[in-house]
Amino acid sequence: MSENESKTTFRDVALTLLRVAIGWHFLYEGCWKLMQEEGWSCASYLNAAQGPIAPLFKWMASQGWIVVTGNWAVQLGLVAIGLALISGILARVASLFGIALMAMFYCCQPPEPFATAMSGADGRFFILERNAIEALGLALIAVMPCWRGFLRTFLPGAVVFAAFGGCFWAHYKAGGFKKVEAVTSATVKVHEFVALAALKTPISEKAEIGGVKFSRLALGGDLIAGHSHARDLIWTDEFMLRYNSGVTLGRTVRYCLHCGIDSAFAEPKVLEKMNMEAKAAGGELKFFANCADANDAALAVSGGAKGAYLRPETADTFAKKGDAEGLKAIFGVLKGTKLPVGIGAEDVATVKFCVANGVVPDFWVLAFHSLDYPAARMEKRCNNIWCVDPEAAAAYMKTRPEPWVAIRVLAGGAIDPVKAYKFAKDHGAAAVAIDLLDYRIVETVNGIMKPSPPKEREGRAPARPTNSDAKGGQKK
Amino acid sequence: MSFLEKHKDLVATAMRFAIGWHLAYLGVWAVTSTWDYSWAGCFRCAHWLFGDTLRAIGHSAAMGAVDLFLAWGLLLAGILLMLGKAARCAAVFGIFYLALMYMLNPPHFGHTGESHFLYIDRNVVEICMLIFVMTWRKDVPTTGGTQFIASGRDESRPSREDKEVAQ
Repeated sequence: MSENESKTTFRDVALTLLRVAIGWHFLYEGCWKLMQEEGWSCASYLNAAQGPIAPLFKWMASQGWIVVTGNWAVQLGLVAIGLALISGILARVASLFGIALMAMFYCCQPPEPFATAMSGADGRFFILERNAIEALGLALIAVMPCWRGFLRTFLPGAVVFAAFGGCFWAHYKAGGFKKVEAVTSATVKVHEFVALAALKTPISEKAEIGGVKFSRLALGGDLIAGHSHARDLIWTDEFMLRYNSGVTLGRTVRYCLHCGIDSAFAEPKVLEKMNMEAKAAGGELKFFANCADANDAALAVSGGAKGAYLRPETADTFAKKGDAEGLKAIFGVLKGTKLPVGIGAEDVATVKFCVANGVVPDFWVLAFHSLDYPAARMEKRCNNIWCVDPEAAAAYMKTRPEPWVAIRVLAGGAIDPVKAYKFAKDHGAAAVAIDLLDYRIVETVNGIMKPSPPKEREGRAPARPTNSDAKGGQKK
Repeated sequence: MSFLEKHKDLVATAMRFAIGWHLAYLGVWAVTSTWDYSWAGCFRCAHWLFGDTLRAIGHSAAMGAVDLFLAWGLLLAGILLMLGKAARCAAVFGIFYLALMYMLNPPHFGHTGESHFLYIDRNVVEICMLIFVMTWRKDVPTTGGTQFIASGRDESRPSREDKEVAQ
């Protein structure tokens, strides 16, 4: 053995690192549970069991004495195993207990094919998962000669204990073990990581208006400004205002930038807030300001908007009244901003009215959506429909040389954003502004960027017959 | 040699195989995905070491090449680790990948959905295991497959080669 021993120095170091790393993980996991203000219970974990022996775990959760014993066994067991692994004292026995614990975790929440993976759960792959891998690491510690004398075994342990104690104390002083009452920044980071890691490909389609290049999918600002268009639900406007403030607005803007959405069509009053969030996220939103009067236009200019357009309701009112002079006056004000100027409309008749009166902007902003949703069939018009005849509108817009941007494409949230985007794009919209809540951004971009089914991709190589689409929804 | 120590080759091989399985699974998933699977999202929210550089890569056109490199690298490294061929090179790639994942989402007092971690998460544990794989040279069979069992042999017994020499 003496010859072997001289060759195993690096191996010893590697084994020590492994032993200490697993020990650290166990010790922290145990301490974390012990430090919980309201105590920790294994009941919820047992109740969430999946797989072939889930009934056994659920039965265990229903037996009070098993839960109480389990609570202490797991908490103290984790701490004891951690201490033993780091110090190297009884490390072999501790490894065997650790393997037993890991085996139980594995059986309680097995990976595929024994159970469907929990959504958002990291580290679970086919047959194996990370508990199993850590258990094999413990098995390695158990089968390797682990006691190499006081200096080589315990001394690294003492250093690690000191480091652990320091980190743990710092964490405790920072209130890290207090019950999470609001969304903390650490939690947000983790959510963000999971959410953004689900992004397949950022939006790559571009649009250009008045020399400004931006993503074809733009963020609509109605929800942020508190216009939910929710018909009978009178509480939703205020809810949207409250929801889209502070942390959530920041997240919405960050998600958009990460997903390649670099433009927004919104009222100037939210411009400053959104600019600040974009700057904090290290990016920039190209802002097209929805202006009703000279004040709005001034706000748009001072806020650094890249374009301005006349609010659809305002333009529609001028057109319905036949007030060409009023329209020209406000259009002139917008022109004074020197930005690319557009005119908004819910009704394509407004566009025709403008053209007939010689008011031709750089771009149009048109309410445009399909009529494939229940409320579109209501007989009376009551905030249920914004684009009465999309086909006729699209046909007319094809005759115009100016680009047009589709807004209100979700018809007040009645239409799926991916379908809405494709509908507008297929009908010739240069860009599509969609009101997206933070948590819908990644899935919408994934849906838009997902390749079409093979039959529509003629002339390209046939798609591989895989079932990874089904996996795609689960995988981080 | 104790009962436990007698099985160290078997355990070391099983561990190497398991890590190979893990990396190969990620690689297979990324390579066969009919969607354009990308690590861009992970890169774009890097907020720790080299955060600026990683975010810049995430936003750049080079991300396509990075994705390709990671996906095929994982697949190859995973298969090699499972087979025990060129296991050291594969382990180096595995360590690189796991360290990258650690850097992209460091577990500083965080909860990642798997467990609770204080600086040391399972990427670190797996990195330590791969460092061990790199040092485990002499006893690990390099052909995998059925030799897993053969490799669990007692060192005191003569090997097949020894027998052949004797004959």
